[in-house]
Amino acid sequence: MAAVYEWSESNGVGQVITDSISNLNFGSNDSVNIVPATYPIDAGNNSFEKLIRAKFSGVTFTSISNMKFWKSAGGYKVGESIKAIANQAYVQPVVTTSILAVSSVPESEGTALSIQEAGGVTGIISAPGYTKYLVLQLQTTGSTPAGAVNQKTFTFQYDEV
Amino acid sequence: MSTLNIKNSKLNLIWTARFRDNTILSQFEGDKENKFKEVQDRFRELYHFSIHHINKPLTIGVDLIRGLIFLNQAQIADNDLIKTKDNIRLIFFRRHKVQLANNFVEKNHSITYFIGYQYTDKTGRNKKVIVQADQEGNIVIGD
Repeated sequence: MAAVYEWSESNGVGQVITDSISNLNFGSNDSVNIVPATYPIDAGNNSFEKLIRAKFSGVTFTSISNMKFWKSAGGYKVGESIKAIANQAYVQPVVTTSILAVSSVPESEGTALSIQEAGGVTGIISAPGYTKYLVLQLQTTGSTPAGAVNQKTFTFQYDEV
Repeated sequence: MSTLNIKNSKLNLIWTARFRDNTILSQFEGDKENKFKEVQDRFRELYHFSIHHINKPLTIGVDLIRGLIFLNQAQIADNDLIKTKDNIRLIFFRRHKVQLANNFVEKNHSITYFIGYQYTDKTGRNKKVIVQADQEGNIVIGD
């Protein structure tokens, strides 16, 4: 049986963990499964950072390796960008410009972020568990138009035996 | 072999390993699914490894003694066929490519099976011979 995976998000000062998140909407609040209309981001501001990680479960996989993450579709509006960094320990998400996620999220497999297992040593998950954190932040400028941004598609790739 | 377990596995190609002591280990045996680790633990004894499609007449096999790949018993032409191959080792993994819509729900989840071998040629360089198969049984030779 293929390994089962889900996305998990953590929030708050105390690393409140929510597995099986139902969306990755960015917003002006440090909370999970955000409704954008409730927590819109004003032009010129940032979203709160999102700290997410993959969680693998199942008893019949031997190892997960070569994990990669990139944005594969969905254009930006004027002044909009998504910054990202992989393999971070948990820190409380901030709404100020991220000092962790300072590079644009990669847009091709060739430049994808490599994601490590929670221990961050081998890059291989050999028992049910989490990866390290991926930090994402949506940033805007004063010229970003009002209204919803375009939907984005992200791709997560991994090798399994 | 439990058909139910295989269907639940979401895998269309499943493996079988053959060892020098004539034992055979299949991914699914009755209600049990064996982990690939059980093959890894016996790599030195492994002489043949194959994957077969559960719905189509497709088997891809690797002869780990001679360094050959077979598609339904037919050997795949290989530029390195007549070269000396030392230290032949199995390559096998499944590559999952998951596209996530904005709500982070899976929009598409493809699984590609990589099977083949790597070896050391007479100059000491490591070389790989790989076949890829998708869930539908389409084949690509090379990586």
